[in-house]
Amino acid sequence: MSLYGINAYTSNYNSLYSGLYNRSKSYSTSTSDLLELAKKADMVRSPSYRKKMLEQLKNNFSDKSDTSEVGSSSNEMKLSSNAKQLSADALSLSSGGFSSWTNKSDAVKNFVDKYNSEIESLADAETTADKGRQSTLINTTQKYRSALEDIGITVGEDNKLSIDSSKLLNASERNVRSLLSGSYSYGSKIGYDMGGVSDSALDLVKKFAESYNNTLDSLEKSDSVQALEKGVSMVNTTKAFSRTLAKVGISVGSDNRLTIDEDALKKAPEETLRSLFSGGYSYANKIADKASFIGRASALEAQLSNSYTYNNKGGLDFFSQMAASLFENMI
Amino acid sequence: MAELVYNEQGRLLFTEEMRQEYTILIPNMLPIHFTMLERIFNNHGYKVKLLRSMGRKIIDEGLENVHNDTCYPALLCVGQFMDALKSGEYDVNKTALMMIQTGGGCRASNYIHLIRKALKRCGMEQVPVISLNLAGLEKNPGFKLTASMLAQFITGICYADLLMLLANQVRPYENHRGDSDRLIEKWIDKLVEIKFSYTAFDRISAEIVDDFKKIPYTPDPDKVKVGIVGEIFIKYSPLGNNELQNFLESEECEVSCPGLIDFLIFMGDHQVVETKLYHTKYKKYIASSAVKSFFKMMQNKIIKALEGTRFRPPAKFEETKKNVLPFLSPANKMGEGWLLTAEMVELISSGVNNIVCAQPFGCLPNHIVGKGMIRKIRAVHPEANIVAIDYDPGATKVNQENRIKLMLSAAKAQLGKS
Ligand code: SF4
Repeated sequence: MSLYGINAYTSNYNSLYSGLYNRSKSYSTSTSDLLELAKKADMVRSPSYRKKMLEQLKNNFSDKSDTSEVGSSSNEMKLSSNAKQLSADALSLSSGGFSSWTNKSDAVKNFVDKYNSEIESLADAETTADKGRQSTLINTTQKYRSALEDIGITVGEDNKLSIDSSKLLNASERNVRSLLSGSYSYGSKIGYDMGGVSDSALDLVKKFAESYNNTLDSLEKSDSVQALEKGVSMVNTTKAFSRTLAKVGISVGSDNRLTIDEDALKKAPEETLRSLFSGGYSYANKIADKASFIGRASALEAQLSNSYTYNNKGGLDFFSQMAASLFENMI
Repeated sequence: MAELVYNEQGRLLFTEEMRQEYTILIPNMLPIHFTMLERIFNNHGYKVKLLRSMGRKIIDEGLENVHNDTCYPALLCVGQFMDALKSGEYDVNKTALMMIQTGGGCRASNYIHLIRKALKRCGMEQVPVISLNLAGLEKNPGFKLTASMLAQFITGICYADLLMLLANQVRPYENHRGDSDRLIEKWIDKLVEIKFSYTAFDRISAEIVDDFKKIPYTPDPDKVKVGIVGEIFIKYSPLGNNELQNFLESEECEVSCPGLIDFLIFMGDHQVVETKLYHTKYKKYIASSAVKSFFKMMQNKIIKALEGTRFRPPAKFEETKKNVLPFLSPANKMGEGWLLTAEMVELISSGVNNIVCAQPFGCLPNHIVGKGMIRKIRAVHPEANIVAIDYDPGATKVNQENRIKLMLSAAKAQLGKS
């Protein structure tokens, strides 16, 4: 069956269920409409359809190395706990469950190192572009000289920057950030942003990536159509953000797993990190929502897989169907 | 994943290979018309998905990705696309976007560039953007508007206008809630089956009218008739106007919303006027006259199908145009141009005195021909009860609804008197 065929079934499945739980839409109760719904239900619940759909959905999570037994109730429980953990990790990232994205001293050190190495490389500037860049760096820095000194960064005779550690220690985090990061700051005027992710933030991002990968591993073993569909949606969201994730040192592999380049992440610009992980519409928040859904769907699948009974045609019997729709309604 | 191919100007092309595996997203402007558009595309080997998403997140995505001076419909289109791509419902490596480009002087022609800019900003440059237009702009090897598709689109628009017109007049009075909407769904399925037949248009429209006549209803003289006019996107799109039609119907009103055919005749007409006034290319004049005559003929067919029934037919284009001449020149063509004023005048002449004029933020043309003309219309038609509602990212639904309720209370008082 082609992918589109599966998609068509999936949309039948969705419309069937949205018909059952979408209360804002008024659905007809005429016999022909009910029969139509029942026909769709039969198609969706037929074992062969379900098998094909599961196969197709699972392709998204396969890492091709794990061939262990799939589909048992304990697998669903494991998926549920991994997904819930992922949701919790993503939420602590998006709600800023740590003191600060950046560590002040590391951030300033990264900034100064980057600046000095660029000044050094431009020392013998010959092309017009290089000369232009050199004068932008030097002139802009001179303009901000006194503000920089206030936070413990001094500008030397050779135009290089150096750090006065004691002054930097006393400087407020806010002043450092407003000077080095964000639109209209000194940093943005010379095309830099404040890097230097704090240890607590780094740990949280690492934890997030680990839970994400664990969830994908357990999705591969799940038999919950709803959890798998949401899993595909989670993977798709990650693909949509993959280029932005790459900017902060997080790569998305061909198996859809996340890999972190710690060095790159440590130096990642704070603005990009914030746009990815902080706030209600961020990448982290979207993942949190989806993971929480997967957690609930797989927990219900675990309960259902213990209680289904089948009729002599291989489909679910009437009471199991009713129970299934009631449970799925609750998701 | 299909190979990414760029043209000489560096534009990402929608290739034949992509046609096989990509899902194409289109924003929803007119629910009935665009549902038909979606079905026609899907019957011609494309996988098209109409975006029906709603909610604040779309506006926020728009604000994040386009300059806040841009007109509100542009902001919504970009926001809806970005929201869909990030939602996870689509694989960004197998998704394309489609936007209608009018090719005119208004910003609508530039939405496509704003979309590309937003894609770049969000790191999704691999998503191709297809322009749907008749002006031959931006060709793509994987996307061809064939004669059969075009014919179905054109008759589809006419059928959709008829369905919209009838449903608007039946829905508020139906005995069983949802009858009209179910009939629309039934007819869309049937029309897809008969490929939006042009030759059977007269017979099918008579059948459609008959079906709507059969819906059990209870007349209610207390219902207030309210017309909706405004910028095309905001006027029709539930996303753009915060579900204005639903709100009005929940407030015991019968909505009257001019069809898309008028706009298409207007598009043909302004080219004709332009040739006369500015002596532009004669070739365009001939093509535009043909478009104009065709849609005028289709409008007449619809009027004929409604003759002798209880339904209010659309006004003839020439009459609509004649009525507006005392107010402004037919050379006003940006945005909705003179048509917006004409629609208000036409509604009042046909007895619909209560009008919501939907104005998007940042839309200069429509502020002139919409809000700017209200005083003049009131001077000639003192019975006119028009309210201009601004739609912008910061406007709250409650505020908009309160202003409309104020207009409705004046309308109800008027109804009581008469
Ligand atoms: S008519 Fe107004 S709202 Fe529509 S595209 Fe033009 S400027 Fe934007």
